[in-house]
Amino acid sequence: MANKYRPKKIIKSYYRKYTYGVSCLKDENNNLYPIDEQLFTSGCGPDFKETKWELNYDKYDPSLVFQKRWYGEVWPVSKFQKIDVLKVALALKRGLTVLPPWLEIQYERQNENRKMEREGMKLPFEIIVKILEFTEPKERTKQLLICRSIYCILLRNIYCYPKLDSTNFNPFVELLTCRENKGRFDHFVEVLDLSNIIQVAKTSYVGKLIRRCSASLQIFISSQSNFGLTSLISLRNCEKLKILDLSLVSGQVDLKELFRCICNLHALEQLSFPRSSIRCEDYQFDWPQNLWYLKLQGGITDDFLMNSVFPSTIRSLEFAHCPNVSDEGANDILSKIGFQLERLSVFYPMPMLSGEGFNFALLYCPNLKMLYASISYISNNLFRMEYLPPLADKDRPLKHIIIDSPGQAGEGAKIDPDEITSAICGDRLPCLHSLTYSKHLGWNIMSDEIQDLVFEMENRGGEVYQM
Amino acid sequence: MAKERQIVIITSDGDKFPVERKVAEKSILIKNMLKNLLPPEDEQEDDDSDVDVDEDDEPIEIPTQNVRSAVMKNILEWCEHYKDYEFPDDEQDDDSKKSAPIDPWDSNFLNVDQEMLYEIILAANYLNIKPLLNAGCKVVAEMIRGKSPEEIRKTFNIVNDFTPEEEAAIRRENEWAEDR
Repeated sequence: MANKYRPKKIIKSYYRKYTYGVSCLKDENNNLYPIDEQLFTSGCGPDFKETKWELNYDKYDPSLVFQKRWYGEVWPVSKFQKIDVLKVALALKRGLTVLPPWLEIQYERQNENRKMEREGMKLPFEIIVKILEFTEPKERTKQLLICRSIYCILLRNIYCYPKLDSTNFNPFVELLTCRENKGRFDHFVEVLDLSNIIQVAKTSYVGKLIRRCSASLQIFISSQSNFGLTSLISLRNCEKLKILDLSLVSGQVDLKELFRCICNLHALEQLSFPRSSIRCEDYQFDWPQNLWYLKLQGGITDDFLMNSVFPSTIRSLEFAHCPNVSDEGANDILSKIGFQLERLSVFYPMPMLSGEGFNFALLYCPNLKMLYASISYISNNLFRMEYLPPLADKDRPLKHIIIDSPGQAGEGAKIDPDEITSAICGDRLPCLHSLTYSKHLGWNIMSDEIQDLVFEMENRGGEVYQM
Repeated sequence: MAKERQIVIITSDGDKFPVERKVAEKSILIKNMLKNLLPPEDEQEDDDSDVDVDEDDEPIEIPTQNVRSAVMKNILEWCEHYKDYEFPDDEQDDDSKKSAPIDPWDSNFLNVDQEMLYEIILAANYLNIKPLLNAGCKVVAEMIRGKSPEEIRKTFNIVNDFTPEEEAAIRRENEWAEDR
């Protein structure tokens, strides 16, 4: 049984008592003011001199210096704390303003700003901006908070080429597309590289994003997710678009719709088809007027290559991941536009293409400056007289040859380095500056054939590289 | 053969620094001034007939009101070191220049106290010596690397004109770009 006579425990805290300290402060007229000892500890410390300086500095408002010291002691820290009415009354009598704690930051900042304003900036603004440009890009976000002027200058810098991945894509889209920000970032984004994004939560997000950035967008690299009709339609308004890379798109893209959307993009210079699948029934397209780079990928067929009218502006052509293209289609397109090409690349895999599918490349493309080919689609014939004849009116301008290999055993034997050496000796490759071959070809660098090739190349000022 | 006229740079505190033309012309400001006052160096040897002999002996004095002598001494040391070096055109390849590390000699040369460093930057800006200005900016950029906005403000004496609410809003808004 509980002992009723035992005194009860006191749960409530006692009211805090305030007592004045013994120290006094003298003012100019030698009047004494009672103060807490703690109250003026800062004034007696090593920064006392600075306090005196502040006093002189704030001549027009002497109360400012004391504000900070008074409020902490006289204003209640919590709702349950008593106000020391006497102390507040004394402070008010002296003409001091008593600040509540929530104005502390504002007051300190005001004081600091006033001091800085008086001293002035140490360097002119344009030099400070120049210095910030020399810092690492990842520090830009922090630097936005320096001041308003720097915020206005650096904001464009951050949004010009946003580094997007799967973790920050959604917040970025939500920020740009929210109603409050309409028109705010319209002219900021120039490059949208979504290649690091594997899956987009909503397919409409990409369309929305393109629409918001359409006024300034110059480069668009798609993500691996679907590229829907809304995204295609949004592309119509991107009048400054120079590079459209859909090579990672996993969904099916209707070529007719794509061309309908991009035909009016006069600035478009580079176009990469999606690698997965393309639906196409019509071959009469309006190609963009200034297109010079075309990467053919995905479900394009021989019919497409044979029946399409490719623009005369194309100077660089690439083949990659084309499961339906055979020798017939590849040679047909080269015979049609080969003379205008300066760069030609053929990547592995092209399953329908034979092992000699691109042997005619140098015959059809006399103006080629760079040839990149996988060993799977070329052979010794590429460098033989019938396929690589000397040009009648000029030297063949081919400067760089790169022979890659997917690493399949024995493929290196398809080309004999001696055949390349004889083409060089026969002045059929007079401008050749560099020859790069994959180490997967299995060519022994110490063998006589390779040493002869290196010797011939070096004699003519060229170089041989292994990659 | 005509004798090359002497060039004297006068600083804000009245000190005179006689310099070679090649050294002085590292400053685009002085180079443009000399272009108006003197024929180019290679032509000087040929056209000595028309020039008045008395005038030819007088040194060309170039006043630099914004630069004090201690700073000018440093600037001229830099110009002397690079007098035979032709810097590539500044307009080209701007991004690669920003990412290029600072030259070790420049780094050692600019290893001075902060006040002097700021004065060298200001003088390089006034005299239009872009490579020195860039080197100075790189050194300061290195100094502020990893610093908080508050510390950067203190370094340059910039007034914070944001309210705490605005600061929080900016932080929230650009959270997606942090550490990227």
